[in-house]
Amino acid sequence: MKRGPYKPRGKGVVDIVIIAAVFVVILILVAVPTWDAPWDPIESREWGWRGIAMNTFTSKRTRTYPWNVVPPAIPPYDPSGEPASATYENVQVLGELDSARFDHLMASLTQWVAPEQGCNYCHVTGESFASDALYTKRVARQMLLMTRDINANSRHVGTTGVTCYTCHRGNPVPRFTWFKAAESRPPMGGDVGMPPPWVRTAENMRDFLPRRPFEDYLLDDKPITGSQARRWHGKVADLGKLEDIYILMMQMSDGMGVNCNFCHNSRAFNDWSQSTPKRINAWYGIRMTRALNNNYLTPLETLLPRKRLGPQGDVPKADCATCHQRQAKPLGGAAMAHAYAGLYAFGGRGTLARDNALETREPGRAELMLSPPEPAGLVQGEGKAP
Amino acid sequence: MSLLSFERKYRVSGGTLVGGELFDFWVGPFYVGFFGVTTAIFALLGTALIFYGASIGPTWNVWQIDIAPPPIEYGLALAPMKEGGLWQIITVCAIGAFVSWALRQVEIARKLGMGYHIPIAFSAAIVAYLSLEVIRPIMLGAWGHAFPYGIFSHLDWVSNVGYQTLHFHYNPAHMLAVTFFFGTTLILAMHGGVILSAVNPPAGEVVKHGQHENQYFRDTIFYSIGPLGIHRLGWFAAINAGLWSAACILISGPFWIDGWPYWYDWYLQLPFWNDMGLEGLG
Amino acid sequence: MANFHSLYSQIQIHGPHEKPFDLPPHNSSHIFGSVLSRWAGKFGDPQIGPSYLGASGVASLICGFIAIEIIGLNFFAAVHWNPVAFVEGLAWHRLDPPDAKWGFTPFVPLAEGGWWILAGFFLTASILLWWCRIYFRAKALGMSTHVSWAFASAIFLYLSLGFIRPMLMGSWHEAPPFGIIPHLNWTASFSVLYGNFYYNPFHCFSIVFLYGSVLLFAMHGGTILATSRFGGERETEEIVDRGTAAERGALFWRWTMGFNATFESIHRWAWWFALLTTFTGAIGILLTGTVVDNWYLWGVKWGLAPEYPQTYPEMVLPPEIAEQVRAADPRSALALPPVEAAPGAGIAPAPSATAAPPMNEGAGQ
Repeated sequence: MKRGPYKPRGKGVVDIVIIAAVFVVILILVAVPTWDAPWDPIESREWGWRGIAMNTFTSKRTRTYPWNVVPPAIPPYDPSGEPASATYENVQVLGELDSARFDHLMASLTQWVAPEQGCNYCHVTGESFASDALYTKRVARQMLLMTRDINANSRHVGTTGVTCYTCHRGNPVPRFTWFKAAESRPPMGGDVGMPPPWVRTAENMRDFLPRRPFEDYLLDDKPITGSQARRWHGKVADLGKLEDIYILMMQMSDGMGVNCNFCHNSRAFNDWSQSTPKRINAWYGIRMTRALNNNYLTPLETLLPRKRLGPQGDVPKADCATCHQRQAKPLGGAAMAHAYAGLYAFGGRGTLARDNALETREPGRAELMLSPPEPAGLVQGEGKAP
Repeated sequence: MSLLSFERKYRVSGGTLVGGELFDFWVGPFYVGFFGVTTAIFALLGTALIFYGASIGPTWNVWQIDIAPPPIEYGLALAPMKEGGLWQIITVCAIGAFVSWALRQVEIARKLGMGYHIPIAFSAAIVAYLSLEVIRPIMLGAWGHAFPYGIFSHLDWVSNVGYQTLHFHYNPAHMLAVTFFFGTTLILAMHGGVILSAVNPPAGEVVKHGQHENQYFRDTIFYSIGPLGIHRLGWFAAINAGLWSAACILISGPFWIDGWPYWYDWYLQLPFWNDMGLEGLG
Repeated sequence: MANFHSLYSQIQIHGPHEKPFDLPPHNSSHIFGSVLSRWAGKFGDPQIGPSYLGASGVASLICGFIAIEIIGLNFFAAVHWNPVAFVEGLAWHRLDPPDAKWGFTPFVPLAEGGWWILAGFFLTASILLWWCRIYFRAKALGMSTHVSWAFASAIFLYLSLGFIRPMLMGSWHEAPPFGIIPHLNWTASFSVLYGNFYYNPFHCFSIVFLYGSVLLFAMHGGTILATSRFGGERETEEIVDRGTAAERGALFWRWTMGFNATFESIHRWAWWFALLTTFTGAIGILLTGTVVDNWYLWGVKWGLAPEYPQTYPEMVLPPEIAEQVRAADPRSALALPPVEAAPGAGIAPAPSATAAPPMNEGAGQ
């Protein structure tokens, strides 16, 4: 076919470039982001009445995070019959513990927290074990107090218990922690407002999202009231605060590998009668996280060296992901702590109980919390529907 | 009588896909055809089952009637009638009715010597329906992932499915689908408006045609796509609204189970953002 | 009938360009010559331009430019003029309305929302001037003004969101921010804050008209393309002098669903559906927080919300929460009498260290 004069040469190249560009974009969108696949398979669980999609999912990717594996336990030692305080000097927290159990716990927590560095991470080579020269040892003592408090008093953790491994997973600093964002410098002397709250140097969305939700609700004790109704609150809520609450809830869900429907029927987020019992546990979890951040982690400020601190000189703090590490139950609910009597605070009462009476487990309520009703199937049978 | 003044000469036999001349007749204004019969059977059976489902349910309040799929522990199996079995049969009826309707449109188009553009566009809507009720549930392994039949119960489903991925607005295919929905409505308003304004001119003006429509849009927005082009564009955009809706729900769950905001990690990890000698913000 | 041309133009005729009609001098200030684009011609009309440069159009473009500059320069300044950070954050940058403490006063310090008010002012001016442009252009061409009234409906929604509702609520803070992700966050938060927009009946109407508009365009576009072999796209001609394309299009729908529009009335359906999408949406916005503060509870009140069987009948709330629930609704099944927190009765039983408990109790979610 003869080309008309109106059809200049080179247009064919443009066609090819445009088509190639479209293909490249599609290819990038398929190849670059992380995707799941239905043949993984995706497993789902239903938390509400049938047909309203209160479902959570797991995929091969989320079921097989390498860090969510329960490590082999060191076999328990035979009891020596002597308390640790008699065997060792300067045992401030675990003095009443049988010294063999004490040794067992020390060996285990080395594996949990500093498997590469070993005993020398806290104890100076060639010096007495009693020496408090290293900051790591002083921090470890504080962390033991925290663990014992949680195991003895936290409603949220219940009888599952936590160990150092729950958060540390073989790392001296847990994988998921948060700092306050760097103090932002107002551009142009403040004439154009503040920089956006995103953490621009972050390399993933969890770190990129603004920190104010964490600061307000996991450090400060601001009320988390999400939806507006004079019937519930009596005053008009703040639209800006709601974005923060939304982000907090997303970070919670992501940190636990679940979604909003794990706790809520989204048609009425604030309505407890339409929520799942998981929401009660989450409510206690938020209070526990606040208590841990304020009572145990923030005081580490004086102990930790500068390199461990955030841009504002604050300690690494906990949110839901710190323990859960993208699992609904940390380490699949493995009760690792049961093998270590030293991780429980006998007789004493930690700050969790002192600061917050509701954290104290009440036998009657604890029973309910420890065995939440099976969500799907059991109560949805034909005979039980009203 | 139901015949339009010019209708008789168009009512000719032939053009059917199935059944030859057996069902090749009209009832009132409706063309019947083989697929008209199947449409009627599926639609009547499905509607009757919805009424039955309402009658054994707790309410006759039309907003609250809810015929839900089985709980997900039934997986892809058949469920007892009162625990989702009804939903399964109604879904089969709905698919049968929709597909019959599309094929009936094909027969009518053939009869009238028209192209197949209408049944093709309708197929996009059927694909979207199938994605929600069949394809995604199969990919997730349970009929319980499909939406229930009920006015507000299906909205509760939509709400919860959105929150399954924490923030559905971050779903890139959803962004595209919404853009196509709003865009289609925008160009529909422009097209409907310009045709009405051309053929209903102010008193004393003559009726206007394509040249005026063209100049109106060239004058106001630099470009007039023209009388044929606008229908191509509208048809294309409307179909894309349906198809991208299907895509956005098909990737939510089967191909991405975490929150959509967290899907964008790759964007922050693109190699060219930081370290260009420029100051970061911490 | 070798070429139906219904999906793209296989043959393009490039003849002399269409010239604008001769109009009175003040209405004919045409700018930019016209060009023919092969790519545009594949899908639609190949001719781009000439266009009209009127006072309202120029003013609108200037105001729009100012608004975009205010927004863009705020974004740029907020990242300390770092171009890489500016591009990286294009989707995330935000320009927020003033805080609630400022109420609805127009005089807010620039850094605390004043820029937002200014940008909103110029954007609104730009949009209103653009409305004038399309209104007066229709007049100048001797056409009616349907397009401008459909546009007015969209402007009404825009003003409801950014101006009228904030005015009714007495606070700029209720308005959405400028920014791509921020306005999406706003939309989601707004729905949650006011108790679930799916239960807002005007949101329902708006969605119905939105989906209805798309459905209508699929039906209408399909009908015209399917009858293009009979000249179906010559709609105005078929309206005033019905031909076989209009007859076949009408009969298609009559035979399919027992009812048909005409080539003219389908455009009335189209215009009303599109117009009502934004109009009902605007009503839904204006009622939110002013008349109804929780759409879900509104739905419950009027019997819209299905009641699902209680999946967790035994749930017992923390005392503090139970008290809140009781205060809000004494009839709630969850509003149980308060349980005294027994002080001191809360120490965990020491686990038996000899009997090793199962390690994977309750694994998985």
